[in-house]
Amino acid sequence: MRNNDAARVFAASALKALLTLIRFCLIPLSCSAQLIPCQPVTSVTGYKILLDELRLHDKNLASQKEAIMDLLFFNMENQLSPSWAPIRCDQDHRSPAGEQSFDTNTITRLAERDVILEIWGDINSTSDILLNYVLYPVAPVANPFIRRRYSPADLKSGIDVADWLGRLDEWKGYALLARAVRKEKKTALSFDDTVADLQEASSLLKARYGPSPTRPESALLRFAERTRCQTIDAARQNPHYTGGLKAIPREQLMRECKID
Amino acid sequence: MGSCAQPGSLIDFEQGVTVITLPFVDPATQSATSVLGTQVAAAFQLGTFASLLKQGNTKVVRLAGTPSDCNPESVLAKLDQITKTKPLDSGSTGPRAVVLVSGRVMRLQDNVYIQTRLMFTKMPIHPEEIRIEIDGQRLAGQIAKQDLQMPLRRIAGDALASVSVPLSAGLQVHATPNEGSEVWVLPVNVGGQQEESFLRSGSSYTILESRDEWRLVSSSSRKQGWIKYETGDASDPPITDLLPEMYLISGIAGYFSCLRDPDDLQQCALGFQALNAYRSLPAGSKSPIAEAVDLELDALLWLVQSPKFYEHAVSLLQQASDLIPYDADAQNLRLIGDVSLNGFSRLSINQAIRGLYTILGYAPSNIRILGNLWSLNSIAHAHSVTTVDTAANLAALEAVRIEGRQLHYNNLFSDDSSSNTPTLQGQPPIYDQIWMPPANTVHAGGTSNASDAKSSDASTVHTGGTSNASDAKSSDASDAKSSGGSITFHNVTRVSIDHIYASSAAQESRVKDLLGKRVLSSGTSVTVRDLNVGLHDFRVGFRDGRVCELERIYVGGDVDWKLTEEWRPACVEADRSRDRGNGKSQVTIKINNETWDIVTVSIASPEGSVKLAGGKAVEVDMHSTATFTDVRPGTYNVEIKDRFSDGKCDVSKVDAYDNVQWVLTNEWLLDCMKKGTTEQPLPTR
Repeated sequence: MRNNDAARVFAASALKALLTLIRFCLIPLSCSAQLIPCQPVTSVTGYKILLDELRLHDKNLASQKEAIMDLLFFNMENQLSPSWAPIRCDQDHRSPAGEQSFDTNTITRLAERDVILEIWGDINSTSDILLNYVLYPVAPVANPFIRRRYSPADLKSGIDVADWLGRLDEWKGYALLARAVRKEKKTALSFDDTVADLQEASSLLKARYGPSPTRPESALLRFAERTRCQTIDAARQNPHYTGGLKAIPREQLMRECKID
Repeated sequence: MGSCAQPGSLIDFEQGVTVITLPFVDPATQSATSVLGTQVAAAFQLGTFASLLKQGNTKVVRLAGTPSDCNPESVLAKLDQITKTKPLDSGSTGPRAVVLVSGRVMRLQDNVYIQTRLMFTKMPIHPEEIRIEIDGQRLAGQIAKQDLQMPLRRIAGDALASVSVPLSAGLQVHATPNEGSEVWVLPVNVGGQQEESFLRSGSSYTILESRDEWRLVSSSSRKQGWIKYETGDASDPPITDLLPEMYLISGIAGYFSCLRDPDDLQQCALGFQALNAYRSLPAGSKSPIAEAVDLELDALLWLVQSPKFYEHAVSLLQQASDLIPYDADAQNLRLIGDVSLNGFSRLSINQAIRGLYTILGYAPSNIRILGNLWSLNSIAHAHSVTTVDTAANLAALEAVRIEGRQLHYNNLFSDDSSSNTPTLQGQPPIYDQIWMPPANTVHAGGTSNASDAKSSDASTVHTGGTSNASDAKSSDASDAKSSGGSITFHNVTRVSIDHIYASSAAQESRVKDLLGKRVLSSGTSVTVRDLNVGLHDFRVGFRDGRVCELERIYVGGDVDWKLTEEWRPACVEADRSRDRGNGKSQVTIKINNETWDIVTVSIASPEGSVKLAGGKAVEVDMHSTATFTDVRPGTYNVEIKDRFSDGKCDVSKVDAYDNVQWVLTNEWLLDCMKKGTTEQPLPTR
């Protein structure tokens, strides 16, 4: 019995080590499928959102791939102010296989180039759409990956899917959240913009997640709220900051943010 | 003529409202003017003109030019400059306003996708806001947005032309307001002209005069005539079915028209009707922000009509703020609307101040919110009616700089005659009525009567015996003037009460525990005598860690408070270590893992402010012990996970007020993992 226990402990430790290596891409094999670079990243300025090639697995929809990408990108451009830079990476056929396509170096490098968000996914059918989001700047402090499965009702054709994607706005919540984190790190005294972005991101994502968010979704919402609270607290304590956050009484912050 | 580069050639602001459509940008044509984009602008112009016929006093203009010339921000800036330099004609009254329609368009296969952007403002540019005067101070709130991105529309095939052409043909112009007079068709431009001219030149239609259902109109070709508009539900042109934002354009135009003359009920009714028509669209046809703005404009119209409509207006503002909870301006407008309606009887001034600070946390540079905080803190300070430290708050607000500039709060919301901002008179806040409880007995969430409560075994505490009486009596605050009040607390909850902290509302820092070392067990009562007459705050600390607050309780004569079980869930879960902890400032938690598996354990206080091991899950090998030292005494939630499966067990509210040793056994863990969560205590040793 004791030997069995020891074997289990050993197996557990080995598995843990293996998982760690895979997670941080320290085993070359797992990360060998190099992600195709998205060329405009190096030349475009502004807060960048990368739209990768979506994989269409329903052959009835395949013919609409171009229309879907066109409309999704059109929608992104419509919803963004000029300080943002949405970039189409599908023409380079960039399509990550999964989280394992992103090693920590890649994430750090892209975050430093103001890449805020990357979107890729699979359209399995008109009622099964899977989108993945990477929130680059979030990576050092929280899980940057979020995976969302959508089951839209009443979509009949590829153009309906394109329409549906054309109205999607959830990505904007991720973009605002990630930009807030990036701005806070990059720009001195950007507290006001950071809290405004985080507040809008939280509200938008709460509305999209509905009353029963999954565990990663809850974690992201908690992260956004915690970051907002920490930003307010940091602003209040920063001797060079003189904006409105400084006027928020400490008791109020403690009450709302449960800060000790 | 009518180019975006020189908008003044078609726009003179003689009419109250000018609706301007700009060519929609087509990504396919890059920087060149798009035929499709110009056709969409022309369709909007025509449809809007037809919709606004019934409202009158409007001009509908289509400007032409390249995307860079027709950038909406730069067109608006040019118009702003024109209105600042060009005085109104002597006959013109009320605000001049502009609704700017622009957007993007894309042809994809057989469909046209249109994304419309609506900007609207009084000219010179000024936000839509209200100001409320209350107790000598002013509050201000503006609507959430005046720049709206509308939802994407898909229009099939040549639907635009199929509704535009008959519509233009139907706009028959008569020489006189008489159906028997000479008729011609209004020269409208929907792309039928030679393409070059269509792309290069703008056009305008102006409603010059109203006479019953007849409108005297002119086009930019200067030809004038009378059009009879359709009345009733059928009056909206069919193009509004394709582009429902036209309802909102009509609503905004109606709003501005009503503001010019709020007493013109017929005119205002058209504004209300159009705003309501947009809100009645199916959910997918409108964006939450546009719907919220529609509600806000509606509310502002009601507010300027008469104070008797305040209640309805405030309910509209509430609906708007619910649609866009992240928007600080919407929340601010709702809050000051509430204050204007209710004084401080629904929201206490404390709640209003706290609410504004919360909103300030969304938008720290929002001058209106800062100004409102200044005003409310000033009111509270003058009347000493709050437990908030108003002096400190006012000092902090005074120190705020926005873009390096100090805010002069006293002049922030002063009169600005050019803005045409309505200033309303709020309900007078009568503080005595607000703070005085009903004549005899008050129950905190309770339902039974005072005689029942008093029949319990009440003990008596004299505050003079437990604290420095001279301190308590030396209060210079107006709300706690003389001694002699008593308050009886009846604990009818199932939990003992260890503390009842009291402070006078004006001197929050002087807190004393009325119970001292006593415990108010379930079913017993305590009477506290010799309290200063006036407002007091009480914090009731239950043994299970819950702390309930009774704010601004008026003590004068004999007051009864019945503390009921129903009331407790609303109270905050407190960190009891601040209050007590069996005398220990730190305790040790040990966890013995006697199961057959490795588990991870995470421990945190229920509100999440304290996380042991830095919030990390600690791995505990089988037959091992994990030890957490230097733990603050308190109540904790414990999450236990099986290392190799999805099995999980959440144990909530476990007491650790002294050193504890929890023992995880196979039987207990399996049972808990089956349920997933438990409030049963962890087995201890």
